[in-house]
Amino acid sequence: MPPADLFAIPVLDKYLFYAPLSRYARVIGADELGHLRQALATEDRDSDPLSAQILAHLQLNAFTPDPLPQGPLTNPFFLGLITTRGCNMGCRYCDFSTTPKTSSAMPVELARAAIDAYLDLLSQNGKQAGEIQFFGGEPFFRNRIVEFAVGYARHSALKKGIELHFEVTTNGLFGTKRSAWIADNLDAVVLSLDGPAEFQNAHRPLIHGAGSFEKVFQNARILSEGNTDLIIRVCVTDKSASQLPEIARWIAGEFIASSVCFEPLTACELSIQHGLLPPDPVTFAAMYLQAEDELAQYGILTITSGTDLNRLQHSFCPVGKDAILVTPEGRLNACYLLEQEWEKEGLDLSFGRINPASACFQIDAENLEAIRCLAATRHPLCAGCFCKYHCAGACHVNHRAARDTSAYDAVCVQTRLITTGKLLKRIQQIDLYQEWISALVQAPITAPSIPNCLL
Amino acid sequence: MSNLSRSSSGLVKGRGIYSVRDREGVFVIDPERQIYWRLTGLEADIWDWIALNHPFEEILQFSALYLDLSVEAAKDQVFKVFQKWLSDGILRVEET
Repeated sequence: MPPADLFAIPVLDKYLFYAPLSRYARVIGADELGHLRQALATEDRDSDPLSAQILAHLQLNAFTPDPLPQGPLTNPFFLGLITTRGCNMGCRYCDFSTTPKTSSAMPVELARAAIDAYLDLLSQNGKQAGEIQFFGGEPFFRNRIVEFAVGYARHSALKKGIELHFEVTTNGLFGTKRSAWIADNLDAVVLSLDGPAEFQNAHRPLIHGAGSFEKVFQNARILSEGNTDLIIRVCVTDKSASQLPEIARWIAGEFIASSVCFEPLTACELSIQHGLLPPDPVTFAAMYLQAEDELAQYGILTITSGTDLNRLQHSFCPVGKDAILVTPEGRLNACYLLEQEWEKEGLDLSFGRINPASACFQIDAENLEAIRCLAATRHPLCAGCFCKYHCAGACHVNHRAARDTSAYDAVCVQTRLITTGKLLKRIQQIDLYQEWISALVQAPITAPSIPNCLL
Repeated sequence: MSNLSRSSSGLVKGRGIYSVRDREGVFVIDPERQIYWRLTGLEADIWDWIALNHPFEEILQFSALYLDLSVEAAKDQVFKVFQKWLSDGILRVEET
């Protein structure tokens, strides 16, 4: 194993030794770290018993990150249908706000062709399971597409012996009948709900400014009591960050959620205009970890992008994993963001079109390969980071510039702190974790001083 | 059926009828007569589309795509389904 993949992260007066590719973490003292360094440098693996034990463990347990696909597209990560870029809400931090609220919808015929092409691809490659995700804008702003597509896809998949998983990302602004249908027909619902009324109404009003809380809360209750997995997504701002444990308790008390996803706000012109800013990364990390403790008591999983310890990956998101996201116009994209967002970064994340007449994906193999290469690119900033196999450099579009520099930015800081906390909890170092988190809350460390001791 | 040719908004569940959805289909239950119907495939989805107030023209378009038929050809099949449900009493045309 290359030494670059062994890390020692200072935690108070101790070190958290972490070998991500062996899924191994252990708290050691400064002396033990010295012995371990020496054992690695001299390849003398027997003189120190603890070092010998650790190194033996590393040799016996070697994992590799999920490989990036190669060759023809045969195993798509999922099919994403971007049914519309329009939306019926007026979120004050929406970075899709350049989209007209009445933008066009995907034609039903196009949705059918995409489903047929996807199922054919799975079938031709002997796959028995697949996944269809619906994105927007707001997918239920053009509800007819989703309501046709789910039934049609389920029916067609059954004929081919394929089991499909359906997921939607939604703002929860629809009638109760629709909510009940979603609860009965979708396997997972990612519902944006920023917390109690004070946060939801301040962050996510209706287009004309009235509060959305009542409606979304009512639908969250219906979804919560239904057969679907409810994933509540909370966008965290500088105003709400310090309240995350309270928001977590509130969610756990009100809903039966399978997980809660806290994501820090990405600033945009609109959010700045409304005085909504990203949270301080250290506050976000500390509060996130405490919210995780709250939710764990209810058996609810807590998520934030790039910190899943169970996953070793080369790419932060579907980019490079052969997800097929079909736009309302029929383009095949690797990313659900608006095209102008990538273009600003000089990227082309489009790799073909769907032909509605023949129900075939017309794949531009060269572009597909370029997207895979983008995901495989290693960045100087990530090279020495212990989060490299979980966060994998974060968003290929929004974090692109940052990872080619030499200083950790806010995304890195919060990812690294949360990963440290999660590792301490995972290895049952609860006392040390509590002491460390108290220190973090009381005297927040600043970004440049966050250690990154590499073995 | 003349009402049906315009819109499905006049079609509603029969009195006292309720339905339960799972991934495989819909159970339509008449508690008074103590009978139930199991709807699967397109029938289950048509049942949902009516409940979600999709216009009749849209139900026809969806059904045509579903069955890979022309809208005209799909219309016959959808009308047959409606006729059966009306005669079974699980669907009724709401008086306007």
